Amino acid sequence: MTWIVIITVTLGVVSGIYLPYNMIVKLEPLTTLALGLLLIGIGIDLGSDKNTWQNLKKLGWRILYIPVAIAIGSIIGTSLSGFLIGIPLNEAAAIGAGFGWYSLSGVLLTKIYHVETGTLAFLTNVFREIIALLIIPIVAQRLGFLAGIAPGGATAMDTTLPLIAKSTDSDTAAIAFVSGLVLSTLVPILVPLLIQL
Amino acid sequence: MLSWFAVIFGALILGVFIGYKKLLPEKYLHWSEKITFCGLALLLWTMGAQIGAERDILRQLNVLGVQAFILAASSVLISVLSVYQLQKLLKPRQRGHENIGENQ
Repeated sequence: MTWIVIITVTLGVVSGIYLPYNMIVKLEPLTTLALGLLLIGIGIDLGSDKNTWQNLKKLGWRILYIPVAIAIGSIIGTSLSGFLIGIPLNEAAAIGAGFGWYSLSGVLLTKIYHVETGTLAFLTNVFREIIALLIIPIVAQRLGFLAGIAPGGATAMDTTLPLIAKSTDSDTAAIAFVSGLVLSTLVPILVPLLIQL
Repeated sequence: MLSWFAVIFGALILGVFIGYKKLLPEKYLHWSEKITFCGLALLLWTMGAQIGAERDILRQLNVLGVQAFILAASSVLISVLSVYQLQKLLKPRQRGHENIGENQ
């Protein structure tokens, strides 16, 4: 999937360089439709995860503190560093709310805000996943299993889950999945909200 | 901008409703996956095309890359620290994490 995303974006960049700009503009209505369908599809995915949502009750609502802490930490983190490097608060906060889901946060911000911010969101969240893959084992060992869930953000339910499972234990992996699901649900809600700040 | 939020939120809620209530028959479920995938591919391609068309962004790609790394590192750092603190708050007595889910 990662490779498909990278290849598709690269093909886009190449066509953007060589194709006339008005051809791309003509695709505007189509991309609006595509975004709608994409979000319905994401919703179906999240909604069909009934077992996980029911699992949440079994695990206890207290585990929601974890995704909430990760969400707040991520947004504060990008807002602070964004302030230091001169990125407006709404943009930095929305980029942080991508929680590592680079494809969605990138296309969302490109579509509803600006392509430059979308690109920055895409790159930031790609980096987040890479950093997560590099540091999860160390964080889990030094700072505790639960802290090992944090770097992956929304990806704790898919791409970084195997590594979290390997670096921690099965209980933590179950919590990581729920945390990733909650954060994934928050991405399409918080990104468009924060960009309006 | 608010209307965008309405569209996004509406589509998401609609999807969650369809998924949770299992309104979509099993055999169409993989169609929904295909449509989602094609939608994402089209959006990623147009994002790339806009990047390619706006030469400024291409020229600034190294600057954007550095900014992205800083943003990514800080979001990872603060979120790890938040959970680390939370971990200490949640179970001051124990070193493990077994208790996190239990309703006490």
